Amino acid sequence: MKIHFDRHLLSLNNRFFSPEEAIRYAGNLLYQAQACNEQYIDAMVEVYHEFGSIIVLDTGIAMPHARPEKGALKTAFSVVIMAEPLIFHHEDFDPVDVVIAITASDSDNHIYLIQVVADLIERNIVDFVKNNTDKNTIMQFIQHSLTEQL
Amino acid sequence: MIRIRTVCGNGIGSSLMAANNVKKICEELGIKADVSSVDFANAVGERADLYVTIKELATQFPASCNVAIIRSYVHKAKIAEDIHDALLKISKS
Repeated sequence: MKIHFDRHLLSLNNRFFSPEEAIRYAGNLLYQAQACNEQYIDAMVEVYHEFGSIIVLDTGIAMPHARPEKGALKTAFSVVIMAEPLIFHHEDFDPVDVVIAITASDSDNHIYLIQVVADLIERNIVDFVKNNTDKNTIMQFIQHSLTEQL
Repeated sequence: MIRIRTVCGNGIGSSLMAANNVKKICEELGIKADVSSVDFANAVGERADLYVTIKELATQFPASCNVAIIRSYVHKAKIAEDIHDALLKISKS
């Protein structure tokens, strides 16, 4: 299983005016890493517009995604951390501090990727990034979930 | 064997997380189940014995479907609480 993740896919201290802007930013990181094409970013935004806040999975965390055939090129994820939490209009889990955008090139990798994200949530990434603002420390935290799920 | 489908918007994100959790919960309860995830548009056609989803989607199912509402796709303990009664009910029938 090969999941693409590096420092360029982690972005700290962000301020956005809207969930859509945050999703596009997270998607653009994937695009820059050649993990998806531009249509995939639009598709993630469409999923958000169609289904709304259900991409917010847990307290403070949203996971934008789209179907692989919408333009996924690699299996990868990007992590975007807010300087100011963002309202996604989720009844229970607002506001959002961490956005993890995912893209998967095939279904096996996709399942593994989902497990990595679930592990990050279970290990409470939201609280972790509130207490730790150093990029290297956050990278290590994320790498731990990547190796744990191998 | 009972047929369980976890449901989210497009069947590949959060519902997959929930499916992993529901599989583990069934194993722990000793219930034999065929568990997988599906998108909302194709959910009803799956003719599942039990659908597992969040309340925003649950309200859009026809009344003939057996739907258990979960608070979170991610937290296994919360999901186990939320579907426990529904699971026991269908596994006995």
